[in-house]
Amino acid sequence: MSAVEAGELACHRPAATETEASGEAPAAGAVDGDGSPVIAVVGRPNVGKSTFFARASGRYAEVANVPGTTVSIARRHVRLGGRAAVLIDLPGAFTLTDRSDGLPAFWQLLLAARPDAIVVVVDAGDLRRHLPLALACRDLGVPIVVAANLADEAGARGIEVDLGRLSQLLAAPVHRTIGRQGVGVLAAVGDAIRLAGVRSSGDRAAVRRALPVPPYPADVVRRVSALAGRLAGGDVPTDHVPPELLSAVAAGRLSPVGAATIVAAEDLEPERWAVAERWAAQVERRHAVRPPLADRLARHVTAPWPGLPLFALVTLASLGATMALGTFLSNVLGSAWSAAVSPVLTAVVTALVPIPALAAATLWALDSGLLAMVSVGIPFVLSFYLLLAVLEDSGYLAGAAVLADRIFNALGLPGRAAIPLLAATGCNVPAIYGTRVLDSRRERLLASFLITLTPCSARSAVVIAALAPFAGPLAAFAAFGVVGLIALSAGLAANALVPGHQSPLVLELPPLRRPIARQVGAKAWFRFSSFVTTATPVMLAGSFVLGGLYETGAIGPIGDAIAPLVRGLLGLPPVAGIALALAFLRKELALQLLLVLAVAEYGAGASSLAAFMTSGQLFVYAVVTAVSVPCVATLATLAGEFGWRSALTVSGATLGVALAAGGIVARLVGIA
Amino acid sequence: MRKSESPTQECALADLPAGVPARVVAIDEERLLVLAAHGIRPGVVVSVEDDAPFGGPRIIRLGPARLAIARVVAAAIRVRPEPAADAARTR
Repeated sequence: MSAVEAGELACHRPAATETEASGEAPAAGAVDGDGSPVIAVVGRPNVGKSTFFARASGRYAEVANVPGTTVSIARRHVRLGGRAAVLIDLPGAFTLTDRSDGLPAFWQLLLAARPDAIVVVVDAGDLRRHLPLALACRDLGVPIVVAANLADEAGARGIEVDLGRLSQLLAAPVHRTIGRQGVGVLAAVGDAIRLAGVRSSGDRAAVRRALPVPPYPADVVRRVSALAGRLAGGDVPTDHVPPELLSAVAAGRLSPVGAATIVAAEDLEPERWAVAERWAAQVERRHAVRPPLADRLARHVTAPWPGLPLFALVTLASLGATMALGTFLSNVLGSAWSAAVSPVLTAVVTALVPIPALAAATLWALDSGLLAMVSVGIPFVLSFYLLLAVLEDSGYLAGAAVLADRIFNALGLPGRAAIPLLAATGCNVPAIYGTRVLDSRRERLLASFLITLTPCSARSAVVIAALAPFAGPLAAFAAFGVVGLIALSAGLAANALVPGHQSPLVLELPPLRRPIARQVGAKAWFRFSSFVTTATPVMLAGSFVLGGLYETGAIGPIGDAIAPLVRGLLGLPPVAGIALALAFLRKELALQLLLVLAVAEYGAGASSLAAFMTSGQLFVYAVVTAVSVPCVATLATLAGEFGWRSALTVSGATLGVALAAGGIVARLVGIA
Repeated sequence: MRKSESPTQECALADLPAGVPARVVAIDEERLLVLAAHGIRPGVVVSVEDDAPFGGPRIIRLGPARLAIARVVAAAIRVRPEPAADAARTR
């Protein structure tokens, strides 16, 4: 199965729960602990499945108007009409046999949830492409309810569906639903709970036998039946049938016929599509209408004109908005912290911790570390998440991805990578989370590597502040140019070095939709809280360790150790090396630390950068700061998303790139 | 679905002019599964809406759906333009 299909299933986290009350993994059990039936919600990507789920369960899962954004399996307890049930939101799937990067096939996810009934969410306006999945679910022998969703959008396109007829054909209840407004959602889920009750109380075997395998051609039905007979008798070579399927049959979770329809998926799929084509033609009524405004706009988004200028406008506006909102919040929170929190913390810590060095290190962690979170992390991260959520939910992101696709292909990335990379110029941390919109781990790692090489606002501030006053604005521009070249070459090299290749784009474009405020808020908040929980402990620990090194003077020997590298390779004074290392905590500290350390080393005369560094040295220092090792929050995020090994590899690679590039630049400007 | 008797030349979807409805007649084996999952199967009628800039993906219409398909993938899809009478139907 290709990475394209795989990506649509993209579960970048282990198939586990997110924040729900039950806290159980989906595999926890058929009829849940308390006897509630399990209802799985299944649908093709972008059919509004998660919005549907949110309406049914009263809570928003992480959803986006980008295919494949159900990144974890949500599980919620609901009560409808006095009946309790457990609702399970699965990732979007094209077929039951979809398989994504490092994840089990979709049918395995589905069976692990042990559904007593399935709600298949289909697009009422595009039954031909959505009914095959409903047929596949029905073939499993689990009762299904079909939600003909997006009925409002279908109506706007002049498409009406004869639900009664469709229900007859499918031999299953069909509900007209509009997930965004909640129309029909509870009725559909209620119906599924009712069917699940019939199934778990009644004779299961009888229910299964009664399930129709037709409308497929007789020869296909015969083949499936023969296969089912052999599966029932255990008379099947195991290399043809996945063991999970055999154990599901043995445990009575799946009928032999249901299992046979999975094994014979390749034969059945074309038949399902043919049936869907026939049935859609029977139940659809089309009226000629003027295409809705959203459809006409959608076309302009991906056309070179006015799509490209619009793309430039949207990216610049997003960037500006994130920076403006982030800077504003940062200033407000930062001054509030200095005025109200900092003095209290200092007083409390000094009073409680008797050892001065320990007290100072603790303050580094609690005061500087938390301040970094509050004044840098939170403002930029939260404002970016809000903006990203709006771009995703409106459907614009997918359109922009198509426009930029070719450009990013050179770096082994699809066009969608444009948005996280742009976000990186604000703050690397949300940008790395933003790579979840990409398909494969390879793409996410390549994009994250480029992100760490992209100067965030803090690093840009260092470049500007170090160069503009002493070497002129042109030098600052030149430094950004050099950094851009470094990132580009490193990206090209990484694409060539990292094994694997990029799969060419096949992407369903979502229609443009007005984002739902609650959904945007819920999504931004969900991502934001996962940022805070990942980054805060690392920030605290990192600050404490660095503070301890500084306060105990242990930083001195470290400085001596790296002096040859700093002086010999980069042509910089040794204090600059220490400042670079300490800036790991917070990149904008690179400059302040440099001054503090310089005064400590050379005396008060060194209070200006120009007093102890030449323009050439400042240039090298700025470039190396902009490129080298991500900050501690970024490292923590990388570790959280990819594991420590990959996080350290990426960070090590940026350090290597920074040193190599710094060495070259130092020789070019003649300081080493 | 009836077969088209159009005399018009069969070509790759990558070379199909924009706005011309065409029926998919064959898909290279290696792209078949991915495209089939998206509903691009032999027998369906597609048309090209636009091309993304810089040799980027083609925007394909398939019924009410719009898909962006990289050019190398579009090259793997053989299509035959539909006769004009059928042009009104997109399926």
